[in-house]
Amino acid sequence: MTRFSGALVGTILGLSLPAFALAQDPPQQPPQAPPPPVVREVHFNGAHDISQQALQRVARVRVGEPLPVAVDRIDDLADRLRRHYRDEGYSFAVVHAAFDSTSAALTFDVDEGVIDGVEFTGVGDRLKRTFAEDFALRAGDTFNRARAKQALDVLLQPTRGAVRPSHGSLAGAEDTQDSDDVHPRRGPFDLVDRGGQRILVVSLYEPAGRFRMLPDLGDREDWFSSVDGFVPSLGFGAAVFDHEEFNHSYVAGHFSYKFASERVGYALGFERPFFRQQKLYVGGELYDLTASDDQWQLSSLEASLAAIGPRQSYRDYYRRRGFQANAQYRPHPHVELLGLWRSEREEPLPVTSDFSLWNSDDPFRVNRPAVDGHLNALVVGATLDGTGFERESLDNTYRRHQLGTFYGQTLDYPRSRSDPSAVWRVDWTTEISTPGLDSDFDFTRSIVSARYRRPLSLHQDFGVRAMGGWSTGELPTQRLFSVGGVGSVHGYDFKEQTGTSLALLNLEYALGWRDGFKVLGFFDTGRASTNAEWLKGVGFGFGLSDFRVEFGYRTDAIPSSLQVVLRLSKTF
Amino acid sequence: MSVGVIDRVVDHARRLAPDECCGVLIGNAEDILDAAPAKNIAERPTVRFLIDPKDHLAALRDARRRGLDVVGFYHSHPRSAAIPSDTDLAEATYPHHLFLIVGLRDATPDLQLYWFVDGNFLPTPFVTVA
Repeated sequence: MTRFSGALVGTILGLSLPAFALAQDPPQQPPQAPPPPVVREVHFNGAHDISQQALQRVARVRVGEPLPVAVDRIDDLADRLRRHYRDEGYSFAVVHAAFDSTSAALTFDVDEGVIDGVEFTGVGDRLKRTFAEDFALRAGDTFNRARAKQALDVLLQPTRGAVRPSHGSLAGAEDTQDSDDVHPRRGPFDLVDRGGQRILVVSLYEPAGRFRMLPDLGDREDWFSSVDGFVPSLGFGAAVFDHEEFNHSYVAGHFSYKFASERVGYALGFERPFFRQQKLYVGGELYDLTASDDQWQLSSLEASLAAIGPRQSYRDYYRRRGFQANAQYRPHPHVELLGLWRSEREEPLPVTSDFSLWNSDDPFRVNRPAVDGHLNALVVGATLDGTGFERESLDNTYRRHQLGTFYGQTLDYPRSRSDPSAVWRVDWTTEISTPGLDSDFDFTRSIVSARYRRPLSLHQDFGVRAMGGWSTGELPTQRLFSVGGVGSVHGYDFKEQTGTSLALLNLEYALGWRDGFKVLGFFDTGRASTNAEWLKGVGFGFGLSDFRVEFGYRTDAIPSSLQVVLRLSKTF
Repeated sequence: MSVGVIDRVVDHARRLAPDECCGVLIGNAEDILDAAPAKNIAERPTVRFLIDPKDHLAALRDARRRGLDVVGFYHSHPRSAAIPSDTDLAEATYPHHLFLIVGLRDATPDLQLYWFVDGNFLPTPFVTVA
């Protein structure tokens, strides 16, 4: 074909092209290689983790068929298997192949990467010993990257980030300087030859801590409110790792500037746990914050958007500045007992902002004035959590322990859509503030809140929240109980009732997709005083993920009491 | 698969419900001869399983001592059929291993065996022997 094409080109161009190479004598054929021998036997010595059938497939070798490569290229077959082992995670596997021409037997000697010992580098001697005892991989085991990584993850999980796999230069290199690397490193794992022993060296490192600085979008103070206007803020969290007991200290800070009231807000605190099993947390915080007892009714994002958008205020604010010291004891992974001493000045805050995107002709709702005074209070309580606290982040633990709200925190759904298990939490707090504690206030207030959420099926969720509160003495206005309106009893005005006790029940049913469209039905009842009438609300809604439109009615005035509420978060 | 293996796996699944149970299948190229229960260390054991590496490797050592191999793994679906879930598929490792799933949705446990190869679970028929 090539010869023909060359001649044709020469003819077309009218040139007397010498057909040089094309017209030369045909090339000499190389001497015919002898056909590969037929394989009569295949042996795999030392192969366990990968079956011999699988290895035979990979090598493309079959008894009774010719050897797939020339005899002098037999190492190619070993290479195929070696690559396969590496691909399957056996990073240190070695394969040798041999073919016995006399018996036509093909033999593979496989070393899957059996180790003679495990050593940890980059951590202290005590941790080295502990890790060596607890690590799943031991002498005599075959190294498999996925298996080893999983075992290492499990091993390091209790350290909560204080010990991490090292992927850089070999940590603790002095330990291995007299040894020879048997194989190139695979992540934190290295196989070294030490006196004929193949030792798996696991390289770790101990970071001193970690630091994060982020804008506080309502974590401590609402980013827009009627009393402060726009409140940009910055927060940070710093963990100082304890590499012995993994009781990491946590330092947190929050700084804000309130444009309308022209004040600075701050909070600076720390917390440290003690003991390995039944932990005792001790911490404290200095602060000057705009606070509200109404955080349980709607989220900070909703409160801020309602204020800056349609000029609606769904919180009563007051200023609290002082310090507190907290201690939480965790006798069980699902139980925490708390004791907290709070010494602060509480002051009323006037409405100072006149900005909103809409309704700028209307005034903001008057911020209910707090009673001015110095509060010394002892708070005791407990939290029971169905999920437990063990995997809670340091930041969340710190925030929860500072007790920003006495009414408990919103309950999250189970992480997995198909998770049928219920999530629940019960919070109890009793705040005692009396002149005997050198306080300007004289009251005792207790709150118990219980939240429960359970998927009834893949597309049905049921949730319930029950709250009870009672008090003695003279509650200051900033501690009064309220029910009615958004996040409380549908169909009623915000804080329709205010009093010295609380009883509230919310039931909610959702049909649809948790992270998608859903239809909601709900029923609420509550009152804020033992002799007040029960408020009862009922309604339905539509939701798209956490965004929802709710149509609520008072049960005694349907449909005239229709109240439409836009929400960006769950009711509880 | 020996009847003893099935009994053991089903018993394990029932004991741990509503959590998923998990364990290791031990045998050779033809037979599943034993099942070694393992601790499920998944964060949410009601919907996931993660075999404790210690139990996995202990089973591997035990199998080697007996001249056998780890040929696969088992786990349960306490509320659904014995069909690999999306999570099973996403989190499966160990290709060329068998995966036995016990479904407890119905009163009679449902057992299905799969061969995990090329990222897919291939249904694999099996016979039980006394």
